[in-house]
Amino acid sequence: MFAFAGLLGILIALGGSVALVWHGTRRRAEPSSLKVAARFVLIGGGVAFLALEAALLANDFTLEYVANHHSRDTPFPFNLATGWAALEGSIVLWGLVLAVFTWGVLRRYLREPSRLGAGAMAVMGAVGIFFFGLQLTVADPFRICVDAVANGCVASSPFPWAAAIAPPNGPGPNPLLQNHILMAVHPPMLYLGYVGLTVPFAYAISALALGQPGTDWLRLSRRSSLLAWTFLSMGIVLGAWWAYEVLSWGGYWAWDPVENASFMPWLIATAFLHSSLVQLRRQALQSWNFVLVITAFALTILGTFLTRSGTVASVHSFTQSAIGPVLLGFLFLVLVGSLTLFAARVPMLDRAARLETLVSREGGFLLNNLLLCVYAFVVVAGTLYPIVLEAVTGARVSVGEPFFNRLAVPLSFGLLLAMGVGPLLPWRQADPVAVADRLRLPVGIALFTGLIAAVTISRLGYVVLAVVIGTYVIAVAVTNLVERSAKSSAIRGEPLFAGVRRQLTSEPSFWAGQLSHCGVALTVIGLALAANLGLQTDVTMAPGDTVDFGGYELTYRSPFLFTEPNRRVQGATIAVADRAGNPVTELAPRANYFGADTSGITTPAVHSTWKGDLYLTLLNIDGEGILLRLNTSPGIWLLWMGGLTVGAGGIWSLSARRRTREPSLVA
Amino acid sequence: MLALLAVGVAMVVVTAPPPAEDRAQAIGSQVRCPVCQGEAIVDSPSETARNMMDLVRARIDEGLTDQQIIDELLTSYGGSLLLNPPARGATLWLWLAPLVALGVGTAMVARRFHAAPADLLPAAAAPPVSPTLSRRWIWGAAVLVLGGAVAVATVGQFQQARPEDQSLSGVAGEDFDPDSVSNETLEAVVAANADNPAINGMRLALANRYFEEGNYQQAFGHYEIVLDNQPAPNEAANAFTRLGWMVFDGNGEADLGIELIDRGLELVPNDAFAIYLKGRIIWCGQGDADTAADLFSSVLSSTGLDAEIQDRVETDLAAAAAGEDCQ
Repeated sequence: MFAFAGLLGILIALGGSVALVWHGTRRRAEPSSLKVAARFVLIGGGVAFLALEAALLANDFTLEYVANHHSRDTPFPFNLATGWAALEGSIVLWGLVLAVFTWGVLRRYLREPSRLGAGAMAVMGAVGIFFFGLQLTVADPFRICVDAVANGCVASSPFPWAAAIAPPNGPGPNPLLQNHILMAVHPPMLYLGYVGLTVPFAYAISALALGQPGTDWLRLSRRSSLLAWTFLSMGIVLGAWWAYEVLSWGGYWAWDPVENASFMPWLIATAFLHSSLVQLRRQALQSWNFVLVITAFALTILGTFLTRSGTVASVHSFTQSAIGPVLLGFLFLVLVGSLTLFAARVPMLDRAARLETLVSREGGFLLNNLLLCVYAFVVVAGTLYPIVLEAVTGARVSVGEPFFNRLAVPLSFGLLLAMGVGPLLPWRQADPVAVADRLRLPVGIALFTGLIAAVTISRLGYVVLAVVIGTYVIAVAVTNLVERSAKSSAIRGEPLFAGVRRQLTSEPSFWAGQLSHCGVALTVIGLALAANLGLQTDVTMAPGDTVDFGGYELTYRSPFLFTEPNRRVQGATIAVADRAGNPVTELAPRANYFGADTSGITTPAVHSTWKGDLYLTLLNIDGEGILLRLNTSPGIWLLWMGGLTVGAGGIWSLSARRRTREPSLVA
Repeated sequence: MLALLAVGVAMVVVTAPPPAEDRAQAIGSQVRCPVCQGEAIVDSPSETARNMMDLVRARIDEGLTDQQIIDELLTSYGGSLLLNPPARGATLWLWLAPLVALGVGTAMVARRFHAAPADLLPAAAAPPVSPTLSRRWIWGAAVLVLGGAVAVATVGQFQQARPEDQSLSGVAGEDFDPDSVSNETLEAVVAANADNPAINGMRLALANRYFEEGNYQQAFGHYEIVLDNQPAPNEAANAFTRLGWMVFDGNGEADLGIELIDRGLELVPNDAFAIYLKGRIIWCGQGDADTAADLFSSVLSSTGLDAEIQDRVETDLAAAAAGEDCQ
């Protein structure tokens, strides 16, 4: 039954997508027909998603997807999260998110009907055809199980009326993916980001095809771009957090292909958010914005290909399936199609104003774009190089953390420096002397903080540099706010506090951007502290043993073992006390055994304070004792706080934009 | 004032003492753990990675330089383990490409501010561009798309199946191959884990190597430890077989040798190498060429023999069947 409902949903969504392309490309698009088509896409995508979730909740093992990725013992909410924990389900979620964004584009179109909007609907429909088509072919989540073993399905049929043979139970989702609640939140968040980037792409293609390369497409898609970027930022931070809480190596970012896959489009989307402002204000960088948007969208497809095709071994690559070549084909189609369209339109672009000088707001944005794009290039190159090299020459190389860090650290510091100057520069032309004057106070604050950090925290060069530059960015934002508010409140004769409020509410997108800048600065400081000052050691302990580590006294109390419906849990109770012997807390690092899996997934135990985390991982446990890995991560909360602050800036900007309906940008 | 502050910060940083235990971690972060997926040995909780880290720490204590230690790890475990690819050979382009990108980007930015005379003309002077796409472009796109479809159809072979274990993402790892490791390295790793059954495989590889080299003194001790260390049946059989040969070849004790090899054969029956060695002892130690010839021919009837062994067995069979004394 779920299979019938689900397939019906996919077919409706597919039909709606085809209708969108049909009506959207007509010379005179009918808003009412587009509305009906978009409604079909939304309903179809929703039905397919709900059918899959309902099948999971109802333990309907006649579906191959449920039989192979779900188990009766999987607790809430992991049974719901199983709906996107494997390949086919994740494409269903992708389709639903795409349908929601398509609906958003439609609403915008209905408010302000234009050929540009209709064309964008057609592009959304075309992308929809691809993703709903996937669900009918190589990534069909509603295949019926026709031959089963004790806990899984070994043969399946695409026809919902096939005679089903259901296994009594399934193996459950990948153990790594059912170990932490963030797993239920982080993928949908990333999908909202990935899929959201389809909207600016759709407007860009529509603008190119119609020959309207003005600022309309930017204006219409800006809100969606911001929304996608915000979700992508949050998704990346939550992914890092998940890795930290689950993967038991005390780390959060390993320049793993999967992480890179989400980071590449984020970098380009960030560049686009800045460079589109230059076009909106100065009508410059037209062609550059098209290139960025096309690249960002292509990178989301490349990322999906990398992580889902099995080209790189990954926790996100589920099984080898035909989806790899299909995604690669789509990527190729997108790149060739849109770049050809772009090339055909180049003569129409960039006839508008040139920029006067690098010492101006737009110059700052250009510098930022240069650094972000080189950054993205480094990430793409480092990720693809081993794959391409092996495919071409058969030689195997590893490209890992040291490579990325060596290039990413200077690029990040360069970006922070640009962040600290750009916001102070006026448009068109800045007076270098005046700017230097305004920089004096923030630089002083930053150096002073750096000196204090060097004396009290660490004298390591990277740490001090990160503190100085990070503080500098924050200080620039704060002093800028105070200076501007002081000026306006002096004129109006009101208290400074009122001036600050006036500033924040009159230019919300600017100050939201500044908040995101501060978030990036905090993230960098947190990264520098945790990466350079963390301690790590392995200790063997028998019950009753005590070790000194990172300012704590750790005592191994006793082992424990208990059973939950979906797993067995084995662990050690560790009493944590401070140097003076006062008890602080009790930690229980553990290993979880899911189903028949005997290797065990370790869950670290973390004690967090404002100074940093104490992080314990159980490496081995037997009758005699335990082998425990001890980590400290100083200041790691700054990393999470910073990441969430970046996202908060995006949310602030979005909510403010809704209220004011962007009057400043049109002017 | 600002300059003074900056100098102060710089002085504090420059006079900082060199980081102490961090050296091991810095080295460990450069080397990929051979049995994991793209994790550095400093991060990976796996046994191999921990052993390699112990080796790094031991070498630092011995006073080796960072480069010497990394070189040793690479010669021992294979060059593709370096997470920081060298700026030469196949990975040179990886380092050059970002610089090239930076250069091209800078040039593009610079061009933005060099207004060419033509650009100073008002926009209206530009030739009008038709808003409809020319046929040429559409044909070009179609040809490219077709070409791409062909390229994509061939891409399936680049796919690589995901390993069955739950290892984390990263570029695919290789299996650890003890053959690529020097005796000294294996000794160090093995010594660091004296009582750990999990390294029996590594210890056996080391012992077998000493066995091949004829260094029975060294091999003997390791086989004994393997047998004391809850070995798997195939590991025990491997040790018994070679111990049996060594007591015969080294000490001339034929009966004890045969007894030991038989214990190995109980665990792994029909092991060709064990039967061959048993035949050699019966022939050379007990002078029974007929039984030896029977054993040799049974060895030859088994499949999958190493070519070198096959040669040796065939020579021995011919000699034993002819009733000759063993060589």
